Amino acid sequence: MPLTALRADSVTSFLIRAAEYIKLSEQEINNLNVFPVPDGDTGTNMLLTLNSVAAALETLKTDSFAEIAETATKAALLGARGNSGVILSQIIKGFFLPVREKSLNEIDARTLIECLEKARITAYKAVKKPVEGTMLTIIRAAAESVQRLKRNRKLKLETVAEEAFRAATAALQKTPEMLDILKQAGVVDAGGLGLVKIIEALLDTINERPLQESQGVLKQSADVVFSSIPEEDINFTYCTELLIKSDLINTEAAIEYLNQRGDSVLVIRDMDIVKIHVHTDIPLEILNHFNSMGEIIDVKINNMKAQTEEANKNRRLQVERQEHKKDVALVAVAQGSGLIDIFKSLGVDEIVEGGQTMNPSSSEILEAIEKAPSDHVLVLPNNKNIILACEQAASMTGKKVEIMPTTTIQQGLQAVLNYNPTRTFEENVEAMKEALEEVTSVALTRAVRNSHINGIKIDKGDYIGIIEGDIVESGHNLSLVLVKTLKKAHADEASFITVFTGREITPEEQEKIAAIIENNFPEVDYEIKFGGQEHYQLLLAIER
Amino acid sequence: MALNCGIVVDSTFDLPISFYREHDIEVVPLRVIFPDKTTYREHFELSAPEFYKKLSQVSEVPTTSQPPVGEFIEAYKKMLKRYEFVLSLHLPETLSGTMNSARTAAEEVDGEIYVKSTMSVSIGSAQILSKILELRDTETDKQIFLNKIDNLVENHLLLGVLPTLYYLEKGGRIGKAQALVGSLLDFKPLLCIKEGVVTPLGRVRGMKRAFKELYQHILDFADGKPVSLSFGYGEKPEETENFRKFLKDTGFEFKDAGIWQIGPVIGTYVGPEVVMISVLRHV
Repeated sequence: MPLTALRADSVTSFLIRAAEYIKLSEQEINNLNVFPVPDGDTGTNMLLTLNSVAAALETLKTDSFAEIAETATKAALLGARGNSGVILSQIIKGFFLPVREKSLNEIDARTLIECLEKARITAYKAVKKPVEGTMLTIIRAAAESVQRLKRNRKLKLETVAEEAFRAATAALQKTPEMLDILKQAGVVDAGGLGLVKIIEALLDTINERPLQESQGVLKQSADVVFSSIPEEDINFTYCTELLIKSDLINTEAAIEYLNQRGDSVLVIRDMDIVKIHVHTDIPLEILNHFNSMGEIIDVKINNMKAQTEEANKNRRLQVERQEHKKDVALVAVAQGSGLIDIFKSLGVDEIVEGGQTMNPSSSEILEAIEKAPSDHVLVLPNNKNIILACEQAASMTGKKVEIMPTTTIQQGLQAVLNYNPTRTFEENVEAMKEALEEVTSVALTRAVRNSHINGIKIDKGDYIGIIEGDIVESGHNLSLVLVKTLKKAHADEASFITVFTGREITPEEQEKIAAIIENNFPEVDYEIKFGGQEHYQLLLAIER
Repeated sequence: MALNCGIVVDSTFDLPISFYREHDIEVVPLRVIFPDKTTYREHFELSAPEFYKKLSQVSEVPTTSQPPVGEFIEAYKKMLKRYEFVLSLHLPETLSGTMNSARTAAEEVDGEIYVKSTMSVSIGSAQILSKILELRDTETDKQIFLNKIDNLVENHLLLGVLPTLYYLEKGGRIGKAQALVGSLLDFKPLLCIKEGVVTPLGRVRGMKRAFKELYQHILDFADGKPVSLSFGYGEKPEETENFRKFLKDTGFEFKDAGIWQIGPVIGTYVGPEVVMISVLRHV
């Protein structure tokens, strides 16, 4: 028989059971923790808080309800850890307020309604700016939903607890709708889940459910993790739950029967009531089977695939909308797999492939601008022959477009590094343009024919050093040409040198180049990255 | 008559215990929890040098925890015996639940307690605190005193160069600097705390450029007014010393409030190689 009231002994076992339930779910709750900061300690904090209560009660030898209420309240407060612990301590404090104020020696059905209400009030008071979609929402849902039971004349204690648990669980499922960060992470609120477990402990205490058995229920409720289930992981379509009043059902036989027709089977008997949970494709057959053995009290059949699809669709929409929320989007022209990856990693949204010998068309650039996830788009041509095509593309879109006058890849990277998502469009344009003056673009390539340029004699196959588009050195020794060119570019005064190696440069050659820079410019910081570009063995950005 | 104000702070001010004793300040420590679950009350059970040594020996990043409400209650009760009212100062609630614990405790205690945030951490909070100690001696009106504290907070800027965002990201305090994560190029992120949120100021290649940029941000914030600066470091002071020297070489004039080691809890998030600068503008 369920309890008619919580008395000194049962309220103590409720709180100890609550600590037990949180302990079992500690890791699960920790893993859900994304709000207010994703530090994964909500479960631990709630457990420490409840452990403090359990420890105080275990050493307290008393029959006085008032003393228990006092001790629990104080222990929760003193042991409160983390935000979730602090809020929980206030919920416990509120819960016992009616007992302490009226010197009651038990909590009956009606008092329980009042206890939950007081818990809600105290919890909200504890937080300066209450945020919905958290523990607060759960306690509010529980407290508010039991209010309507007041009219019930023969109100039973378990009815109140059941309703509180039902409402809390339902509210938990809705937390992702209330708090964006939960939705993005695809989880329910961590503290909220903890509180649901505590209310479950209350319900199970009242129903005098043995601790071991209730662990099955706990395991099942771990499914509340929101929508992170891939569609293909669901083997059966319908989640089916039955509540049957029957003396005929044999638990073990029922489990065997269900295992042949589905998975996630759970059969719990509590006196003459049997609760059945199964995932199956044939819910009606199962319903008929059990209908012949007793009186069906409640049936719940959910299409899980439809739910998951719906949830996943919502998530996709949400993600797309999120992306569209960007204040400014970046489009860059680049060539070479390494360089493309680097641009993307720095936050460039769309890449148009092209460069020195393969200038992209206006329509390719336009396509990228249209695809970019913002109405404000910054375009980095990264080549002087491409600026015009970019300007043309800009004139064909309804979006606000700014073309950065970047004439080299090195300038493009410098501009991206100086892009700051927390600044406005105009501020970014200004800062990025300013930054272009701080970089000198150096390139190393090989001559395709004999020639004479700027008074420099060049033989076919020679390495040539280029600063800002002008040939300044040539020779057949790569290291020599590199060092001479870098010196002319005042690399010794640089604050940083970035080297992008071309497609043909081997890892051994890359090491050699690193050694050359280190030996000749020991004071300067540098980084060598695979650029993968065609034609240029090396592209170097010299930052002042 | 000077104000009869007792001061309670949390441990993230990173000042030496002897300083708190000297000024009769109660300190409520946050906790650092290592992956093996050993928990330390920072500064009391684990010094900064010990922390960085331990940090280098573990593969997983530690976590931290706000102080229990009970310890605040104790501290308030203790201070209220000796002082007319209590000022309780803490790191921003956007970074930690400490403010919440403190407020909950203040509700429980009979007496006048003002719970405020410095909107900063470590050397920043410490710099604000030392100014508050001066104000406590010179001010006679409580309301003016409290207003002046708000003013101090507004005229303060905490800047940092974090050679790696790893710790900030692992600890879940990365804030708006999330946009800087995942780069294939190595750069030094410049960050500040703005309205309690870690906010990127820029990303630069190499420490030399970082110094130039930091200097520019300090100049912009100073806006021609006199400033005092204090300098923070993680495991080793060299890079921060270099910056201090760089700044002096530019000829920039400022009051030097010293160089300090950042404590375990804040160190958990900024990592051992941080260069931190706290700027207080005198208006």
